[in-house]
Amino acid sequence: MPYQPRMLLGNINVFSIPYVVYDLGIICIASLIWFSFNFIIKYTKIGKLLLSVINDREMSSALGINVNKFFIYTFTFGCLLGCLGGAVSAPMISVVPGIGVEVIVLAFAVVVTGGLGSVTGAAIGALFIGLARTIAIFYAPQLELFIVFFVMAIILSFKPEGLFGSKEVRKI
Amino acid sequence: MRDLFNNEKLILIIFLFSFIGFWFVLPDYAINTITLSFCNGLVVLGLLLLMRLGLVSFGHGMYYCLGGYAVAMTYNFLQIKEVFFLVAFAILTGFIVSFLLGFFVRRFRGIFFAMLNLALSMILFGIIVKSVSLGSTDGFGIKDLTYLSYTIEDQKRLNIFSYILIVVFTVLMMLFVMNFLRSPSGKMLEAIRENEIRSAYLGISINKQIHKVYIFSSTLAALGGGLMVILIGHITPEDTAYWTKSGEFVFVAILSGSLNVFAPLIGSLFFEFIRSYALFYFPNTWQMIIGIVLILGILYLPEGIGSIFNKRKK
Repeated sequence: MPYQPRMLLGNINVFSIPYVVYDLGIICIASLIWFSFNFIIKYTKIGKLLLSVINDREMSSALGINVNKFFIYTFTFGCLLGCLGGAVSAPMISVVPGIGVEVIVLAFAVVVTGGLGSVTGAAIGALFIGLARTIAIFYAPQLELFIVFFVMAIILSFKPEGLFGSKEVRKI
Repeated sequence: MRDLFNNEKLILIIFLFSFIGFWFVLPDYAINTITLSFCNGLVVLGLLLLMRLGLVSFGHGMYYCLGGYAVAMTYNFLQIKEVFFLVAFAILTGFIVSFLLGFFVRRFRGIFFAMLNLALSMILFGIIVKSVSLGSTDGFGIKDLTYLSYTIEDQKRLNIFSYILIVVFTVLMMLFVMNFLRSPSGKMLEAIRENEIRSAYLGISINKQIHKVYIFSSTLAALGGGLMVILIGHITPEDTAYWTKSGEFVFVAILSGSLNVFAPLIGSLFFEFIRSYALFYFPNTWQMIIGIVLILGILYLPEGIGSIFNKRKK
């Protein structure tokens, strides 16, 4: 047996279906991050400042917010989450150079489906896309190539701003 | 001297004749790379039009693919060998498909526009790959062509006829785009990019303009695909409709910027030559070279390669 870090934690029976504990752990990590990000953005001072920077960069800087600092911090946090995603999924997939190329397109699809700027949207969008792909592979494998984008196109044609995106107010 | 540089049409004529002249000077491999980058340059020219509107499409490979398949399938199924008919079919296909899809796409902006185009191109890719009658992953090949019913004996893909055909078509399209950007409707593009609502109040029909530009740019991409098939003689879905090809076009479009119509062609030439030489000298790390080139490009030429020729008038 090769070394398989994913199996180290063993299996567990959920409703008499065997499940890998590690996968459940990933779900826990994801919900933890979802919860903490929602909390930070909605209920702390930093989150509110961040929202103001996103909405109007010039006005925020006029009000005394260090916009550049926010850009650097936000970018750093984004990269950090990307790293975390790669790290926790590495034991489940085969890691090759260029692995990010496939992921980035799926990530864009998820973000667009969920709606820009919404943490919940990203979570729900990821569920939608992931489930659609799995169902397609199971029932109609020939659709697997484009089902992700097909689902995205259908959702966007009914809700042009994504599932949880707010209608953008255009400036005059 | 400055007037000379401002006269874009004169530069275009010099451009045309110097590239026709290159046929007699440069070695075959360089001519091949030039011709291929002209085909790709047409797609980037289409992206330039969208960039003037402030839109980026991650799915222009779809029209590249459609144009190519229009040529290859007309050749194989209808046995038409006349080059001008084949090119006309490519243009017609690009026009009809983009006209229909435009009604759907024109409502979206920003990343939604980009991703929707990507989705459409991936759907086309899936359809082609999974249907045997469309050639599946093998695609189609074409053989001998006739140029105005003149057949060349012992035909190579790259001959003086196909070269001049591609160069002349490219320059013609550059002229069209140049004239379009100077016309009132071309000037509207920047107004729409800067402020949509205000332009709407000034009486511009935004959706109609976007639809028009979308058709124009997609038709250019389809023409590029059609010419590519005439040059290479073969088309597969992976090299055209898959999103990495579209990403490459966007890469070149960002590298070349949207200041003038020469930028996409020069950028495309630059990219193809960099890639060929990087592949030749650094076969294992050529992606790194291309990445470094893009970073340097963004750092030192933030408005793209086009800003070498004309500084934007403030």
